[in-house]
Amino acid sequence: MKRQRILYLNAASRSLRAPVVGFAVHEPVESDPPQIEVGVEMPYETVHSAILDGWRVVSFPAQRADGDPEAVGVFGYEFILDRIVEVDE
Amino acid sequence: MNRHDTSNLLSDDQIASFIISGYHIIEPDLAPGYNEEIRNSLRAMPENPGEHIVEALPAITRLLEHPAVVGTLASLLGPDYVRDPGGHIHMNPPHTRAQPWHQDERFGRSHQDRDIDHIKHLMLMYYPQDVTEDMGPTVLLPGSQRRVAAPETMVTLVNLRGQVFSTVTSGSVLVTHADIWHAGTGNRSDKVRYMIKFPFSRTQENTEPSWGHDARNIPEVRMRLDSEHPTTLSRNEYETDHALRVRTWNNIAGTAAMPLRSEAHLGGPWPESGGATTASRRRRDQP
Repeated sequence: MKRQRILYLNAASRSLRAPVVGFAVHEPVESDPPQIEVGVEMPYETVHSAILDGWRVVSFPAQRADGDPEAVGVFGYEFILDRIVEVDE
Repeated sequence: MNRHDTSNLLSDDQIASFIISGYHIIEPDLAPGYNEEIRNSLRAMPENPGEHIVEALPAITRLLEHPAVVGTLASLLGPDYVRDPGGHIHMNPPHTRAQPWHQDERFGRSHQDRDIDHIKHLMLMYYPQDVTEDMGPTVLLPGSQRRVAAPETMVTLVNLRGQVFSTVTSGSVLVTHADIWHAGTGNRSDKVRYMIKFPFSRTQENTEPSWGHDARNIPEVRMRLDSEHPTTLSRNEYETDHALRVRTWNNIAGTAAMPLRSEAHLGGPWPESGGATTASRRRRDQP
């Protein structure tokens, strides 16, 4: 059956070409959630690279206001992508 | 140890590193057998003593009073620092999963009450055994002590560019800014990983640097505060982060404060054809 594999990519800005600074993959099967692990590398350098590899963006990060000049806030800009994959029932 | 002894104080360069990244690792020359003694005591404990660590483990006082530990704490918090109530023995048994990213909550402080431009509170973490990559090392996100972010914004974050794992040798002490993002990672080994954590606080504002300061180092410190980035920042965060770093220095340096604004970064080679402008080079050529 076909299911949705989900990829969270955190980029350094809202640009598709901005460096990816964080990621998490959620497999469409019964499994533990992804966790912090030693030695992993970013799967893509940019969101655009992920699109070229067949992922679809299903959620774009919201525009933020100019930002608080007195503080550094939320880590990165969150894009959510999916890819339909065949899994065994 | 006399907290005013200057022989084990941090240098300007080490203070700059702490401001930029939010952590410092000490490898104190502990007596032979000390770490094993601590490990044996921990194994013999029928249950976790909670915050009553010193009462349950009196030998830990020798670590807390070690000159290298005292010198680091006095450098970062001033000589009148205190150990706060609290503290915890973390026992990470074999085959566990990682914690999520978090900042510690202390004394009812919320995420909006972080010390983003000061060093007022520290966490000390002592590891009485080697911690290898598969033993669930503590993971840190350098520079994240300056972030003001609600816990809700962290729930989808997992592996982040720039994350650092504290793989250390037995007896190492990791000292962090209390607000740094961190997590215990999964222990994939067959060994237990212990870590003992203590909170410390500043009680007095500095009127002069409480570390081994030399005014001749100010230009080098300033260059580092303006240019080093252990993790990638969002495009609109660079200016703010630089300002918070300098404000942190000024808040702990007393008479050795530096001007908030510097134009030194605007000097240097002319841009190359096809490259970025001076202003955008500062933002690491991000689109």
